[in-house]
Amino acid sequence: MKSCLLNHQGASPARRRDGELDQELVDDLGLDDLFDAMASGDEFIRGVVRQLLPDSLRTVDQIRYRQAVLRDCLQNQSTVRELYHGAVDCLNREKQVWRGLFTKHIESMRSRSVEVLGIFLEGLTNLRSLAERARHDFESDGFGELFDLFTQELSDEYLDTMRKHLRRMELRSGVQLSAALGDENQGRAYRLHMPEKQKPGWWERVTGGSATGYTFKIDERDESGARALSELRARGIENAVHALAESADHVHDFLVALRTDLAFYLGCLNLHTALTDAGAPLSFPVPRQRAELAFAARDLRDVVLLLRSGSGVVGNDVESSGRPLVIVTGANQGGKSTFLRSCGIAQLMAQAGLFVTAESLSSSVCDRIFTHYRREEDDEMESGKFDEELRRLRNITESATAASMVLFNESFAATNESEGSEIALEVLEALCAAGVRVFCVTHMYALSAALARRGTGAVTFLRADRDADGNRSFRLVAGAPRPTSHGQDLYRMIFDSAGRSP
Amino acid sequence: MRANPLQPAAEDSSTGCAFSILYPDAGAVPPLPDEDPAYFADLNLDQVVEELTAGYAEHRLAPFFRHPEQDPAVVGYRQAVLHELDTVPEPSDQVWNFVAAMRSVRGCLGRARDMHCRYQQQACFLRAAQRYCQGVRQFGAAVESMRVTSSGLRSLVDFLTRYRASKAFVSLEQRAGEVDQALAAIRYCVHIKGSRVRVSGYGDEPDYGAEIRRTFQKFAQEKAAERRTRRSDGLELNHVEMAVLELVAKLYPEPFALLERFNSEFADFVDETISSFDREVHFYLAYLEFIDPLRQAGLRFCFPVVSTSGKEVEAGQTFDIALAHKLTQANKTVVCNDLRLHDRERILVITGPNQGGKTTMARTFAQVHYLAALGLLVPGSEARVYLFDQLFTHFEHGENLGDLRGKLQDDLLRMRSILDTATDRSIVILNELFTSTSMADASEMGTEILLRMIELGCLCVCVTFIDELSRLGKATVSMVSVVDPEDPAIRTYQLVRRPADGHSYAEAIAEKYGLTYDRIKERVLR
Repeated sequence: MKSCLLNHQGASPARRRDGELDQELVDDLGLDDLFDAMASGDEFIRGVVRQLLPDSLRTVDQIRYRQAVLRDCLQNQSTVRELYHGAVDCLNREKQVWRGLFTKHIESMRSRSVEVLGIFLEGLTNLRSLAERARHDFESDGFGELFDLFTQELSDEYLDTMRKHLRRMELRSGVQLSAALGDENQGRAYRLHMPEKQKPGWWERVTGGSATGYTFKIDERDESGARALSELRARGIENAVHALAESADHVHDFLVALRTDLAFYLGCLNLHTALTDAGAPLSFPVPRQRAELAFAARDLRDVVLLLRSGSGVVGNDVESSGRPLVIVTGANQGGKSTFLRSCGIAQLMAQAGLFVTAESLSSSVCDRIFTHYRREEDDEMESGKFDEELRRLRNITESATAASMVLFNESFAATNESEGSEIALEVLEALCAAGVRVFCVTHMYALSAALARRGTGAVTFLRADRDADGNRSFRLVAGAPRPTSHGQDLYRMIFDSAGRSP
Repeated sequence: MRANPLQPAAEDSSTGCAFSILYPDAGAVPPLPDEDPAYFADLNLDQVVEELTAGYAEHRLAPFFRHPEQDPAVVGYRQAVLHELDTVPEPSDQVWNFVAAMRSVRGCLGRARDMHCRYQQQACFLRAAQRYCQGVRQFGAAVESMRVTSSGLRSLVDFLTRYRASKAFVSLEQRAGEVDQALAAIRYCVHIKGSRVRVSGYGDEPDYGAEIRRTFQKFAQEKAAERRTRRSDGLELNHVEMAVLELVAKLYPEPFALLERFNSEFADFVDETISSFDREVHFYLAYLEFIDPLRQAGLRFCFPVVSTSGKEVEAGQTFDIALAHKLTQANKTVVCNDLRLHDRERILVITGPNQGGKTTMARTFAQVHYLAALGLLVPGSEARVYLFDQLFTHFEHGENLGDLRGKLQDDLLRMRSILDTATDRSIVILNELFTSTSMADASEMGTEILLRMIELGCLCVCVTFIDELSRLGKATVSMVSVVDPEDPAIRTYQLVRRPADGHSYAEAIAEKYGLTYDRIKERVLR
């Protein structure tokens, strides 16, 4: 019994990830703001989205599957929250059951397991009736499967069987066990047999159920005998108690899995609310096949800016379908980095099955997104910094596949421009030739010019521009690179606005 | 309880054994000494034997290591067996498996003795017999299919073939199997309610734990962990369990009767030759185990050519095995040296700076001869040694330092007794003779002693600070411990055949600190 809200039943589990590169992605794209908005104060939700967002889905179908579930969630917010809190309550109540000082002790393990499973039984019963009530309000395959699971697997009959096991395992009328002889004639392979089967007839009452047998009694004053007897009893019920404890673990694991799935969608709902409040355009992206190398957006806005400042965030239009490389050049502080981040986050959200902050987005799936940003905060010697940059790039190229996407932000700038350009050119061309999609922000004219000379068939050039007055619009336009970055603008702005400098 | 059938007979000469892996003639096993030879401590061989035998106390291996052989046939017999165990992986693995099986047999018998409940004693005894049968059968089958060449291992294979077909072994194995099956078929029920316990037969009742598992299995996620039931092995029964076991025996009398009968009929099931082999073969195993880390560290061992006629001695790149053991454990380098006695050379006189490895060299000489006489691999890349009749050591003993006169007397008495007993076939190791008297006296007495040795014709190593002793004619040869000319503070522990030259070490040290004649003069005059 598996919750299937995130992926199809039987989908392959998430692969193991390189934590360091994921952390770089989170830092470079400023994803913590996004996670905070999704968590909305719930640490569990934050943990789940932190793990799931960088772990991109890999096919168009998988993305559509989640989008459908998310649409259902948006339509039935209160039911989804009720489901989530149902699972959470159950697990919280479990946590409160006293674990006892001797958790390894069989008798305390038995009573705890009976109690915990009692709580779970109640919780599962509630979840099932909720599922029955809500079944017709949901349209997605994901919720359909989950609700079917509840109604089929948690039938009245099944819940009744559970209840019976819990009652029997209270072991009120003694225990019936069997054993074989071990190597040293000690008892081994103990089994517990059905406690409290049915009411025994008078003959069984006299003989204990079997035709031949011998009985003895432990003397009331024989304390060590009583202890030995309870040890024997413990050994006899041990296997069944472990089965019971394992069962409690299983149901616990199921509830945790369900809570995890629902936490993801609750995070999406929270984010949806926050972005709607910020006045963002929200749409479900159209996932495209990888070979199309599609990336086309209208009014694409940066989520981080939206969450921070709300209104006044400028959107961009991009059309780069069929070209693996996007080069962004132009004025300093002209919105290049913001634009790069908005592309990265949009791709990431799309790949997780979320809506995006754009009027529309149509993008090919990739298997993983990497970021390679210049590390401004490193106050090292230039050469050490360049070393470090190349080491990170080496890590990325070790983890990336042909289906990946890499975002470069002012990379290779830790050395002189001609050297940096040369290396960058080789890296970018190698990546693109391998099939990797690359977004690259650079002020190195030598690089962009060299790429431009090779023809624009494989490259989309975008430029952060200024209008005739020298004011930045923060809007990018398609256009070939120009020789100077607009550092002098910045210089002029700072000095002119403060009056003539002395 | 009965006597442990594996307890070796008090008498070491294993009279009833069909063969011995240590002696070509199983009937001619000499009595082995109970105490270390007098020279053991001087040569540090006591440490080696203690270390070697430490893991095998039950086999009482030390006596084997205390008896150097004088018969080249015995040495050759052992060298062939050891060579095969050392170089051919299969027989050696099989022997290790076999001795492990025998250890487990002893373990079971030990448990049988320790148990209080009769049925448990009998069960442990049965397991011992089963392991014994299994061990013997596997070992026999394995070595039979191998091509062994040493006559020791060939005799073993022949013996095992005969023994496995013997009536005693066949019926032991068969009966043990029958009893085992009968016991394994038993399953019984226990009903516990309050203080009342009822034991009855098992009627195919289903396992309730399995039913619970089935019911809840559907919730299991991918990474669900299974809780393991404790194994109840190795526990002695408490009195309630004993009472239950008594009733089980009452419910199923037949298997328990079989068990009882098996115990009394096969009380001494371990064959004497098998048991003796198990003990003797540890002589080789323990030694190979001991030298293994030394070889790992790059040190070499070889089978020496042994001779009872010529007294030429050669040992290339040899070393002190006791010291090497310690150094290797501490990850330190072991220095190897060459030993040579040619033609009429009989007496090796070692001089040189203190702590330069002189005594180590003397020990090495004796150890190589001693280990060779045991039929073992000796330290070195190649070796030719003489099979001695007796070995004597004369080392300084720290006690009585206050009483110098008494000490000199003691030294001379010990020397006298050596000279009285030693023959031309003996080896004598003299370490720092007569240090408790004046140099002139020591030189004179030392010369006297060595001349007697030369006359006797024995092999001798003499560590001394008196250079003259190395110049007593063709029988003596000088070896000097050398120093590193670059940095004399570093001890090389290298010894070379070279005339004793007195003060090379001191000169080198002086040079290093700029304290030579010329340099002092130069400095003072400046």
